[in-house]
Amino acid sequence: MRSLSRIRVALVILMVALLGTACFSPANTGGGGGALDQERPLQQDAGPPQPGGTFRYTLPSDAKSLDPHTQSSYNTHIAIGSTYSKLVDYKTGPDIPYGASELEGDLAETWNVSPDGLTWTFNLRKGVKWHNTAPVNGREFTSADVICTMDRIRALPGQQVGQLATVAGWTAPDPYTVVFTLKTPYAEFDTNMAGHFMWILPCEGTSGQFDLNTQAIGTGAYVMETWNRDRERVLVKNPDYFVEGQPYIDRIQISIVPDQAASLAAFRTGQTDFLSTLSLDKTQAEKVMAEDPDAVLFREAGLTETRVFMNQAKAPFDKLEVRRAVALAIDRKAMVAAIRAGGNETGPVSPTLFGGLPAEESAKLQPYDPEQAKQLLAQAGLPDGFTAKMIVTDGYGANVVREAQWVQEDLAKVGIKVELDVQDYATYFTESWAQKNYDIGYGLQTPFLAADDYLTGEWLSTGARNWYNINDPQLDEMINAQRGELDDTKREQMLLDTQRYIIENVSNPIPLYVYDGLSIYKSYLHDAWSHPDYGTRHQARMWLGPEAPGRTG
Amino acid sequence: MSEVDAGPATVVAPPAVRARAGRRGLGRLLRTQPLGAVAAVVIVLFVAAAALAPFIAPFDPTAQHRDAFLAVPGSPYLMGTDDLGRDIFSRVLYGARTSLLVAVCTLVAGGIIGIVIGVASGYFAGGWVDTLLQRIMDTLMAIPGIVLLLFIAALLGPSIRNTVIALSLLVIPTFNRVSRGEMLRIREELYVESARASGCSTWRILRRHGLPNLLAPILVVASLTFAIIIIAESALSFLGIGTPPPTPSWGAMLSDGSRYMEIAPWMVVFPGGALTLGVLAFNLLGDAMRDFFDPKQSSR
Repeated sequence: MRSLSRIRVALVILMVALLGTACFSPANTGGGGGALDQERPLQQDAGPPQPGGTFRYTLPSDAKSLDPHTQSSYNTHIAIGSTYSKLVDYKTGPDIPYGASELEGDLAETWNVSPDGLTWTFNLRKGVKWHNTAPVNGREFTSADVICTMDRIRALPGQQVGQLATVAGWTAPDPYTVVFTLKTPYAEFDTNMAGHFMWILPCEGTSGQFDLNTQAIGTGAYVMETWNRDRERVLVKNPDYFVEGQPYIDRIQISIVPDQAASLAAFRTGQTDFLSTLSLDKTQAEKVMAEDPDAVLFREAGLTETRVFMNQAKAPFDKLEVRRAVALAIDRKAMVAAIRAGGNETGPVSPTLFGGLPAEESAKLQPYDPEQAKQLLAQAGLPDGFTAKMIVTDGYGANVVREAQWVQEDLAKVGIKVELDVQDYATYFTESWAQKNYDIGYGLQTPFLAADDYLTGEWLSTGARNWYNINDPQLDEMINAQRGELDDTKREQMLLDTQRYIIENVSNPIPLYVYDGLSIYKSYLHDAWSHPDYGTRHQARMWLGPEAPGRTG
Repeated sequence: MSEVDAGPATVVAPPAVRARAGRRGLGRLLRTQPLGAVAAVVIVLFVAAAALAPFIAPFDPTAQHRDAFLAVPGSPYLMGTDDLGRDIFSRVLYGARTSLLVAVCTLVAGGIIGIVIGVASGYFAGGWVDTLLQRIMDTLMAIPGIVLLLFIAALLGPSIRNTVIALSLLVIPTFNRVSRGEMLRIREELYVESARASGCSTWRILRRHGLPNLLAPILVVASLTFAIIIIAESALSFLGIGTPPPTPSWGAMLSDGSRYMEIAPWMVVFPGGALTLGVLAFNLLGDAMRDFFDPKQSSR
């Protein structure tokens, strides 16, 4: 007993010593360290791609289901992003800026639109094989699969329905041709087909011959070998992939690691090859870059919007004054500078997209003005403020919870006391947000790739992602009107006016900013040219240098 | 033999004698268990710091000083600031409040339920009441503590109240076992037999003879369990299912700090140090009290 006591005393002394010594070294951080300014480009002169090896990385949360038509969650689409293919997809590469909207054929080899803008014809690749997994068993992909997929999309109430809103019907005149007939001309229909959710599924899947929730059988570069939900996904190279020679990497191993510190440790100790933007914040990126001179920093110019959203069916958020007060209470400029590695204030549509409000105008329309916020609350009959519960998830990484606490503090300054309810990703996304089972929330929004996706999905009263109970007939009219406009200049003006209307007359969800994501690669990873699109098709072109650990190629 | 074990509880000493005995007991505690005495002083300091946190803390523990993110310990932030510019010293002080609040509430709730079940079960040992209650306790004890905590905390959601509920369920079997074991011994004592023979009601016997004689072992268990609760609360908060942000909690502070361990070690060292010191103090006090109340130890 006495020897045990001595050990405890020694422990106390040790702790005191630690307190005295470990903490008083000067901080090597703060805002804007030098390491992030010295962004190093991905290696382009590493020679021809070499096959082989295993690419390993971590993500903070996992998909609830693999069915891309019933789930609009980022996690689902990132999970199946190398397994399924689309008709067309975004082009990426060393000469293409991150987030550019240039399209290339994926399952479609070519496509064209009739002069009247009403008929879109997609000519499919020949000889494309589905993954060799029962019940599809590697049969050839045909136009029938596209028809099955489109029929299922229309039958389900998912986000994808909005992408087909202008379509009157579709036909397959032969096994390698699909024709879409539109109700009204729509210049961006091919962009819709490259949208996040437009994966082409085999008829065996759409007819229920295998469970789309747990299995993904596609035509993509990687076959999903195993999926242990919330633990690990393993993808293996598809030997029959339709792009000759690709993919180069044999195996992709994704571990679900909610703890940001553990993800960081895994990267630093060489257990992973990539730190995604969800597992990394500015300070940590600075530290990693300072420590590892060979690490490669990739800055993803902001497309993902941070949002405060409110349930208009619940008082007091049914009052415009209250929603507007929330918008004016948040110091978004200081927030992005403090927490993120860069970014811009945004309106409802990301500022870099066609029709997006310029960042300066968004900032002007939603200034940081706590005094005016207080006045608005008083006008709403709430001079002393009110209390509410704010949902947030740690499934988007720890930074989002930090941001929620920033918002919480700003709202408290004008009298709005919010209690944070930190939920796991599945609960937050599926049960709270999408079911409109909340008062107010903070989170990220899918980085849609066209202005119309944002507007029709979220602000149209019948929008698939209108999870805020917005119902404004005038706004519906404005959104529908811009869709039918073929003149780009006129349409852009209509899009801008619609967003101004949203900010001033709806003020929900409140867009704060789009932030630059930072991801870090090991230097032996080459040609990792990604796109903000949820897919991971770019992984087919990635390859590992000979110095990659465990490389067998 | 300790004071509480000294014969039938109905023999009550006059107040002056009791006071002298108490002072003698305290003196003997200091003499025979100096580490325990030091631990008691540390605990008193912790309780004082927690109680006086609003007066001692230089800043609001949730206030964000946005010009001082991850500031180094010094002036004006004695223990530095965290990743949102919050003063760590203030948060550690208020974190003690959270830990002590959760521990006290848990001990009161879980302790009372555990003792009542244990006393009833021990007094009526062998009957169906005892069998039923003990099988329920066996079931609770069979589930690993952390699994039970995670399950309840995840089911109810993160909040201080729910943390207390989860932890109470965890400690009920401990108090039950100790009080039942003691009650089995006490019910065979002569003074209980006498009370029963003289027609005292069960309730009176339990209240006058049972509970007072349970005090010593319960105090020891409470002290040791206190430390376990503080760690468990921190573990739940560390995992994000305990005390919700931005309420200061040592576990949540450790969780936040773990992401910046190498960049800003003060974010983990100070709450970690406070947690270690607090737990150590309660463990040492528990050990000391156990030795103090143990007749074998005190007769040496």
